Amino acid sequence: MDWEFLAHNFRILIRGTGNTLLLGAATLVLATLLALPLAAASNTQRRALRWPIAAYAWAARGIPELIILFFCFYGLGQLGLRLEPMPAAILAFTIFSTAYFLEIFRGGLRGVGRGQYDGAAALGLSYPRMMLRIILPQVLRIAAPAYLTMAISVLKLTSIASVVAVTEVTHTANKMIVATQRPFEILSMAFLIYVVMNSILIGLQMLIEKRLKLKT
Amino acid sequence: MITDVVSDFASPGPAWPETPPPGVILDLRTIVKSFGVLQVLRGVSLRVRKGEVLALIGPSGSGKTTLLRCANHLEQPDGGEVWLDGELVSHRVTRGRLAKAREGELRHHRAEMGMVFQSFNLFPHLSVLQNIIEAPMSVRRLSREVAVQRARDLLQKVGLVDKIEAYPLQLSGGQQQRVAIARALAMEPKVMLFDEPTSALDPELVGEVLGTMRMLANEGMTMLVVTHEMDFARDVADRVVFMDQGLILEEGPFEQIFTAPRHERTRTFLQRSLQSNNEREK
Amino acid sequence: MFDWQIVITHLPDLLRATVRTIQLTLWTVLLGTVLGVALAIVRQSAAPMLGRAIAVYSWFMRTGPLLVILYFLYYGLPRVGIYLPAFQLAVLGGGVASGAYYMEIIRGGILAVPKGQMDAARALGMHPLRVWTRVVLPQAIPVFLPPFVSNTQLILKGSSLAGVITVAELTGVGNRFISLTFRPLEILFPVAVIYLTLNSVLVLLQMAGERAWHTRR
Repeated sequence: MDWEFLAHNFRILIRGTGNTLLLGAATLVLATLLALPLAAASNTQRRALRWPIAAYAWAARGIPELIILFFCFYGLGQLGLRLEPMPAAILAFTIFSTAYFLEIFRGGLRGVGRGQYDGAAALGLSYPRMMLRIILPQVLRIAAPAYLTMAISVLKLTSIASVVAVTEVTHTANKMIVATQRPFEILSMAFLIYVVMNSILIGLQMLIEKRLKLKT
Repeated sequence: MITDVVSDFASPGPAWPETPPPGVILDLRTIVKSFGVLQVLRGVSLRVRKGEVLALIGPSGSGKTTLLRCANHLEQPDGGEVWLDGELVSHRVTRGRLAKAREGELRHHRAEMGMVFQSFNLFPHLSVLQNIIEAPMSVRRLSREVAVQRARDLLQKVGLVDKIEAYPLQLSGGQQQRVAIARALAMEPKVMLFDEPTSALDPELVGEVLGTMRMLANEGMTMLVVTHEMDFARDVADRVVFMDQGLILEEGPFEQIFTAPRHERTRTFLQRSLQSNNEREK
Repeated sequence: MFDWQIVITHLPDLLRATVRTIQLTLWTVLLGTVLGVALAIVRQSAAPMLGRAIAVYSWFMRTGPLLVILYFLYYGLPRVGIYLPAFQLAVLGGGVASGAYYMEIIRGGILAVPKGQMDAARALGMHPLRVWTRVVLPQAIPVFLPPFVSNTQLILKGSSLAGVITVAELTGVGNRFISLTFRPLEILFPVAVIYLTLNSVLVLLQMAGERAWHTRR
């Protein structure tokens, strides 16, 4: 076990996690903020709203993430908007993650019983107040497990950003393989970095699920 | 004492097991069964004669259901023997020694014992007719015409021939259970095992199932019934067997057990079940 | 602005690459399913040691990226003297990664069938094979068909990564054309449409499958 080698290169790899986490966090924040109103909108009766949203969701989930990434990085460039790798990646990731979160939040909305709306209305609560104080907390509670599972997927997927030269973990690892000629060690360490990051998320998920169970 | 009762029926352990006397359809000898560290059956022996109706009663956890499931080897007993109509079912003879029977042989004998479950266990994706003819055709190799005719006759007997094309989930609990009885009868079993057949039913539906079971008993079917229905035990059963904590505490005709129980636990159990019976009738 | 000529010239090659994508997906699903079934069976019956090993493997597959696994096979195997074509490496990587998911899906299907069903079938003396084909599977398949198909959809999308390790599938070929033509949109649009079409085929197959194994409820 060449510990010196491992330690030295591990430190280089770790620098990549900065971008991995940046991409992941930015995506989660943006996608969540976009998906919530979209989910609410698609829950209404108005077809004019539902169909475009449904079409977007179908396309964003059916087209491979790498293709969407290429659209944002190369495709937009053709239209005159040249983006740096990281912004392009954030855009692409937001596009497809929003679609997934959209589905998750819609499921959460469906899970809130009709009686909740009736009860709020009977109390005379205004629409914004009802959504914010009554409906939204319950949606989040119901959707929490699926949401966190998706968050883990997003973090895993950040590795594809390496293909458009975002200097995150996988990209760094790839370059190091050429330099060190030791693919097993480098890639194993890279893999473990992802495992650890996602394990933390899974731990968080289990913690939240336990606390939610206690509340209900 | 407990040991007296058990030794009355337990064989003293000859080198080679004796066949049971003629007329005994089901002979369970010192059945022992544990689930992990929990010992559920601690050496239970029971003989059921042809045409007898036995009611098996006792508190939950006493091992009644496990005993039934050991009889047709849905659970493999850890020790003891099971004889069906003079044949040793639980073991086979190889090279002059006894060894546990294999799945293939057990299957063959299971077909001779009909079982009716607390949760009916009808196949939901098959119609009533298909439920009943499935085993006779695939196990007994009857032709479809013969199997369908038998199904019709049995459904006629339990009063559900008009539901022959229906699906289980379209029927009430009582109807499903009667179909389940017909399905078990379609295999022309030598003995019928009932595992709390009415426990999962709404009170109004219990009567129709008990009625069917009564009719079967009157026709001379050998039945071993685990039940909480004391009326049934009193009116239909020839013998009542009380089990507690993995052993048979006492057995005998209902009157004897009811009026002169030998054990304190029997008395307490009977009191409590008659109490809850009265509660229900209110 | 949009140059249809480029689309038309490159379409035949893209379609040929699509065939490769379909092959890649099918082989990966096959490997993943076989692995999943084997693991589900092992998990049900065997030793706690094996169960723990399987749990660790599952955990790694759920938390580690597919791309890293593919690179691992692509760069790593030649170093130990194993030279496999990129296509097989991709199937291997995808199959092993998805095996964990298939295992969960199959266990879910089997667990969905109440134990009493097997009891009743066995009590009637039915042959174990018939118990499976007549009683258990018809009830399990409607349960695990939807997750099975959605997992297949995920594998279809995952196949797009194989281009990175030089498999001539749709995305890889598309990427090459982008750098050749400098017209990404003209390449990416047809590619996206093809993927969406393949996806729709899967959805249609699922609907047909559900109708075939329909449990009347």
